[in-house]
Amino acid sequence: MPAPFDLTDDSVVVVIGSGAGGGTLANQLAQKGIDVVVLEAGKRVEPEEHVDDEWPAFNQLAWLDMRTNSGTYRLAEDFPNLPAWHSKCVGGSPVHWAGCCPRFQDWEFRTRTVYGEIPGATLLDWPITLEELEPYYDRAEANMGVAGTHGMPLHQPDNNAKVLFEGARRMGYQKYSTGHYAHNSVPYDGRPATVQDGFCFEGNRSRAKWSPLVSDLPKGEATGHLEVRPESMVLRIEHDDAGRVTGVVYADADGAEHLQRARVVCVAGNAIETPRLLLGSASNLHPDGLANSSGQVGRNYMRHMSDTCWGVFDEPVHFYRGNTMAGIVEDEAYHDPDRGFVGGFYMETIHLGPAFMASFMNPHSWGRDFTELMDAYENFAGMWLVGEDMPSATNRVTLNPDVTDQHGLPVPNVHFDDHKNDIDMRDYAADRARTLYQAVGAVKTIRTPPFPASHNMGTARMSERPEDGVVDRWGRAHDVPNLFVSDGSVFTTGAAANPTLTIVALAIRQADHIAEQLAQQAL
Amino acid sequence: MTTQSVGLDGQVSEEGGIRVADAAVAGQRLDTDPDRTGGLADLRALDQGTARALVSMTRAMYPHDRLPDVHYERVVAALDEKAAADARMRILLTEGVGWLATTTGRYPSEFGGLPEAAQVAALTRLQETPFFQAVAAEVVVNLYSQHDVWPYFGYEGPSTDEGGYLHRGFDDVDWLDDAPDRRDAPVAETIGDERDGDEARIQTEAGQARSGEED
Repeated sequence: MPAPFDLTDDSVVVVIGSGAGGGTLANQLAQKGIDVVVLEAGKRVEPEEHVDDEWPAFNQLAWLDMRTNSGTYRLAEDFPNLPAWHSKCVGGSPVHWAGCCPRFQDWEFRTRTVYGEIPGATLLDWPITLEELEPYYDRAEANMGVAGTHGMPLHQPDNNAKVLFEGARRMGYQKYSTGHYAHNSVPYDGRPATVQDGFCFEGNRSRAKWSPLVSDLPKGEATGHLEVRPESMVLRIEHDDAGRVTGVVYADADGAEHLQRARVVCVAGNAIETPRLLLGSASNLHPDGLANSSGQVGRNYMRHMSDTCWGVFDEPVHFYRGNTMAGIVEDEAYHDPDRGFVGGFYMETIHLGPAFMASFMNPHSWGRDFTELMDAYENFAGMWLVGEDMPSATNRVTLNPDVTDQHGLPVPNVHFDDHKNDIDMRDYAADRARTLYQAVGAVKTIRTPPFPASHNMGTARMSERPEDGVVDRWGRAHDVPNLFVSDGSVFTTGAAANPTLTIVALAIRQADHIAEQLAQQAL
Repeated sequence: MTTQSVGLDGQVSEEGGIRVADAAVAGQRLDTDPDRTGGLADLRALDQGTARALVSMTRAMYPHDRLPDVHYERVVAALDEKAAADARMRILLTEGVGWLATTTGRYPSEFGGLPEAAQVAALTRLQETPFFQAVAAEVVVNLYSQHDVWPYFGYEGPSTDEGGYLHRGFDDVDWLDDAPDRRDAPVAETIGDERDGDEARIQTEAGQARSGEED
């Protein structure tokens, strides 16, 4: 039956969320002739409606539903209602992302083995290896169109990248480039080449940047097997007495509730909403939350080690011209405990406009110390430092019983304490970054505290043994045979790499598995 | 520690979400009306004296000597709109301006004429108050979002409809070969990750107070 599908159609796969995980999975299934309903909480904002202006774009695309934030990390103080900076729109967080596509490294799937036991960390080896994922990384890169892979040339370095490269060269680094970047350097897949507009974080009016909004979803819809329902906020997942999920209840734009029946349910709401939905779907059969017999739902929340260094130079850089993050130094992405911490990190270019710079550069700051830096904006270069952070059982997403959202549901609370390893890596990385900019003539540097997290991971983690995690090697819930998790929540550990490429690779792999299981009548 | 911080928080909408939209949208709308001088001619909730004192205060908090008053006036116009929509905000702003008098011993209308060091001293005493923080939040989001302040910072703004920066200098930086290596030089660092109060958080070599006359 071609889309749209009936609410009572219990043959469809329901995918909750339309981002890197959900959007990819939905299209892959549709291409195989499997009927899919995608329920997306946000609106459909086509690229022509995107805005090259930070706050209006933020208000257009970001997830702004009420959340609370606790823990000892700085963000709980700076942004108590904004623990994360991800999207609420059709296409999900890739609409907001920049495009960095490093793959995980081999040992990053085996950190419990490689790092050993670390107090306060709940490290666990992934149940899969790099070797198993490599074919799917290949398919993910080809699907997205990643510069530097499969014949697409690397981007030309922009001003910010050129400063980074010269500093890196003087530091003796070897591996610096514009990096694998999911933004067309030449026309690809019916989408144009970059115009170096500089607004990767604000959507992308030109469609040169990959996201499910401009790629997977329209392709899936063209098959007649995919229906995307925007402004459909899933409130709970229902199951039968045998423990199989049977459908989901969602609220439409007017707040009216509907029950969509389903043969299979795949949750891909980002690592805060996914555990929130599972916890909120508690029942007599699943008293601690759906698929939570392990008690691991919501735990092990990771957000990546994050720090930002702005260098201020004698002369203009105009770092805002060009792709937001097409510049990477990979030399620090290795594991050597002699540095004083485990795991590695990347240095990636970043720029913000004056509007975001004022809000994020140094929250709380005012007076001439602040404005003199803003006055030097034209002479800024910037890099973001992103590295592996430690999972911890107490860094977790829970339901806040004291605060409810517009649907009357408890809002998610994100609790996070920085692990000492994160702090040590951050200090080391910040020193390297500052030194790099000094090497190329910086007269001042500015160290900006972590932003609200765009890399949210680990809250329904993948594990070999059901007692260690929430889902198995395919992302299927250990406790529920026809329930899958399809986003960064499944990350057993976070590696140093930006997570999107790995989310996409896992979703393609999961789609193959689900299709095979459906064909065998095993689902 | 601070009870309410600058930035995105504390702007809870009726739906229970964050309402950054208010300030950003207000800034944008004002920008699209080139004839609007800042909006202090048609105040809705604040009186002229309070609004004028707030203009002086916002400039003292975020001093950009090159920026004309109109940009600060727009921030105050946005505060006025919030005060018109929310009586608590009106009281907060009105009483807060009164505190300027308390902390300086001068009428609020005289605040802008005080030496910069005296302005900063008064504001430092107020910086933990909800009044100060509400004003700061508005300035940070609104002032730097005004399209016509961007040229003062060397920022060219929206680009896609101009063909991006591909043919407008995206890779034109040309001084790198001659850039000095300053790894052994004393280089000022501002660290935004210290929690021991605002004084410890800012470690720059920049002067604290100087006369407001230089350009």
